[in-house]
Amino acid sequence: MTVSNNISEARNPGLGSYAWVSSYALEITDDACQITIDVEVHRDADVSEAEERRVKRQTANEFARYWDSRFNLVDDTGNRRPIRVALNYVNTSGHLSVALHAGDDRDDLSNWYVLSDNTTRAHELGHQLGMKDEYIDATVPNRANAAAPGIQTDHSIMGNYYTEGQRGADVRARHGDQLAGDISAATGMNFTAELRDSYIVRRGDTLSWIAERIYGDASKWQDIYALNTDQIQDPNLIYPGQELQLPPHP
Amino acid sequence: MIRYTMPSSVLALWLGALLACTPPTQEATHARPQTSELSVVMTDTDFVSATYAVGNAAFRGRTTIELLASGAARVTQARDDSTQTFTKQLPASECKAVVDQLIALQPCTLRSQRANGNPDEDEVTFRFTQSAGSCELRFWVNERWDQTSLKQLVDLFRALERSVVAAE
Repeated sequence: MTVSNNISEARNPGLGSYAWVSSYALEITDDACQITIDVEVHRDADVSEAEERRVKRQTANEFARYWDSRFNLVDDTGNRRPIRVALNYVNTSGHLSVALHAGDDRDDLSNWYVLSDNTTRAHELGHQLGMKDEYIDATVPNRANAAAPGIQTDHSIMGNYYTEGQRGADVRARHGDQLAGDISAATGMNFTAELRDSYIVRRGDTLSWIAERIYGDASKWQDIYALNTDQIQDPNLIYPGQELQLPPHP
Repeated sequence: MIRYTMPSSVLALWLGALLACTPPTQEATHARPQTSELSVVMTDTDFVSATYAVGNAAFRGRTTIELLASGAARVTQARDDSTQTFTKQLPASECKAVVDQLIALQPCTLRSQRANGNPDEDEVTFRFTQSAGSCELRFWVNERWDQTSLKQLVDLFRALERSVVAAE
């Protein structure tokens, strides 16, 4: 089935809105809740095929780093399923259509730049999952200043990670709640979400970076290491695909 | 997305004034220019300017670029609580090149085609001012990929920004 929601954030009078359609394919089995976003990428004439391939690969990896298997979907009988997420690049009929431009500039949901940073694309794809921005925007009443209700300052991937510290940016429990709410509405069932107590290693991860993102403290890598000595011989060597057990979340 | 208070013929007058691209040598008279011929080198010293602004100072930063009739250009980069300002007196040839391109683009004729923006999409605003009036324009920045003239206008100001910042 497809989960689809029209999302709008009103700006000040006369300035329009930020508006988009959050949509993705959803499949719930006994073992997992699989979310797949079909993405069309249309490169400009001055973007090479190799650049497009690299952006696609890096974006898929970064999207998985922040969003894949980070939450459990919990049904009303207490059964838990990991929320898996993936990108599926397609030529037509995608849930999301993106224009890929040359150079380095500021990404938005539908415009990516070859040299922009991958964390920002993970942020943009968070919008496709139904998340709203959490940083200050003076033109948006709900986010007009630091005290506005839509502002979060906990190193959220949807927040101002440029200022708070990009390496510490991560998903937060409320993002799982948003997913569970949207899935509940789409399926007519009652789901909640929780942060998972494990993490799947992605290309580029280190124990200290994982610790910095999840606990806000890079030195906690030792706690992660201590829980996983059965599969980590050298803490400087972890491998994509390894599923690490995590100490309790703060 | 647009507030338009100046007919294009007035903008042409102002752009004509910019052609001088030299610092003012006397007090402004605030007299309305008497000609719309762009080939005439204006001596009028009324305050005129072209301003471009884009971005969010509280997120990824906001850049404002101003070009004054005197040929002075100023770039202001604001991010969080920090603001940097760069200024440069454009050489006459560089100033004339910018003005010529503005004239060719006729920016006050451009229109936004979208009421709503994508999440994280910056808004870009322009203001072209002379004593007789001004026009203000607002666009979503990625509309430039659908409007060649808008892209050229944005590229023009960005090139000006690079020139000004590099000069300091």
